[in-house]
Parts: sequence; C-alpha cells; structure tokens
Amino acid sequence: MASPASEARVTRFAAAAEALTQSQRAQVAEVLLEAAPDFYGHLPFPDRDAVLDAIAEQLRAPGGELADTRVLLAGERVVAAFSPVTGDVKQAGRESLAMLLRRLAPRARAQALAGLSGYVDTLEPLEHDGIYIARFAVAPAARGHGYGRLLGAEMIGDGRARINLHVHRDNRAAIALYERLGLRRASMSDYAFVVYTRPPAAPFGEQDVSSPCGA
Amino acid sequence: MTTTGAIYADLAGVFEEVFPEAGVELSAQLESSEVEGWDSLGHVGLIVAVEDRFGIEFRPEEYEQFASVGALVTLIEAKLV
Repeated sequence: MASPASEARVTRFAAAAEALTQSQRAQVAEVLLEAAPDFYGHLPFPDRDAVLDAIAEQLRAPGGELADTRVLLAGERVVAAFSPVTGDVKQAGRESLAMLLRRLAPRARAQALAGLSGYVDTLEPLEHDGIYIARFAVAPAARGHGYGRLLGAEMIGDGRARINLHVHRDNRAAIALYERLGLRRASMSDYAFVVYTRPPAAPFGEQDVSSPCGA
Repeated sequence: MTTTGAIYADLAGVFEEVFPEAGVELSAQLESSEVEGWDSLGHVGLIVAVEDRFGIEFRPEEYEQFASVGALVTLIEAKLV
C-alpha cells in the first residue's frame, strides 16, 4: 500500500528473471496483468490465480515477451514494471502465447484463439524495427508518486534505440506520459490500440520538452 | 520408430481439433495459406496441439521453420528419432 513511509523508501530497478523473491514475482505478475487486461481476458483460465501463475512463470522462461521484464522496487515492494523485447517481436509473442496455451486444456485453447483473433485485429501493425515494449504499468496502489516517469526514463535508457509500444487510444494518462518521454503516434490509423514510437535520439532530458503535452 | 504414415494419421486428428472448419485432406504439399484458420494465431495453436499429441516440444526458433504439412512432418520426424 502507498503510505508516506513507503514514499520515502529508496527505489531501485531489478530484473524480474533473477533478483526477486517469489512474493515479489507474484506482485510483478499482478502489475503485468493490469498492463494487458484485454489480452489476458481472452484466456479462459479457471481463476485469477491461474493467470498470475502463468505470468509469473514467463518471467523466468527465456524467449517470451516477459523474459526481460524490469521491475521498479520502492523498498521491497514492486510498484511498476515494463517488459522490453529486443529481439524478434513476433517470435517472442508466439512463444508467450504458446506458454499460455500449454497451460490450457484443448477446448479452452480453441476458445482462447477465437477470442484473441478478434483482439489481434485491434492492434495497429508495427512499422519500425526497434525495442518493443510489450508491457508497461504502475501498480494501481502506487500511482501518483512519479513512478511512471521513473519507469519511463529507464525504458528510454540512453535513447539510442527506437522504442515502439501499443497503447489504447483512450488511455489519456499513459499517452500523456509517453508523449512527455518523446514518443509520438506512428500513424493516424483507426485501431483501438495505436502504436507510439520514439526514434533513436538524445537521452531523455536532453531533448526539447517544450511540446504542449509536457506537464 | 514411428512411420511417416502413422504421423500423418495422428496429424489428421490434430488438424480436426485445431482447424475444425478447414476439412482438409493432409498432404506434404498442403500450405498454411490453404487451411482455414492456419494464420499466425492458429500456427501457435497447431504447435501446442502437435506437442501434446506427439509428446515433443518445439523451440521458439523452430516455429517459423514450417508453413506446410510436409515441413511440419519433417520436424516431427526429427524429434521422434
């Protein structure tokens, strides 16, 4: 829970695959589920715990979208996480989906694929190579403390690689943050989940931040 | 060792399960584009169902190595040896 005491705690980043306790990994799964409810909602797991188990497994499995997840800790508590994909985005997505389907019974798999085919059609195709951010979220209880900006600065890194991500076109809070970080809409397409992209450039903080979207 | 004919027979059951609308006769030349439902998502569904049926596992880099029944059977045969 966010409290005045927790705000004062030191924040640090950690790799979800290695440096976390089982409890922290479960917290990361909660954050990542929150980051993609539309996607996970199409997977007919028996209950929420089963979804969280499946996500937590992926944090330690190579090849999927969540393998390189980075976590922001305030004290020992997970407050935010993002999942960069540096290799082949399609291959990582397929491997993530295969890992999830392997945990479902055949009938549930067919149901998942039918639901997901509609979902995939709402995603704007990626036009540019670069690092794809498969997940990006701040834990609901930890919002309003600037963790999103910390996470965003970590995501941009030295800014020398292009960053691509999908965001729902109605998610104004996320879009405002991404625009402050130098991401721009990739096209004027009509998809529900649009691509925001940041071309290779100077590190965050050294660029022009006088855009009307800056806070 | 499993014969190629036995693999095709098992694979026909997998295709009925994963692509029930397709109603296709399996042959080595059959391409993904000719099978209703064998798109990017269906490909992953096929992989997982084949893994179950044959007791094998595909590595992520192998996912892209087949887009036809013949290439899939070759991959399965290599794993069953």
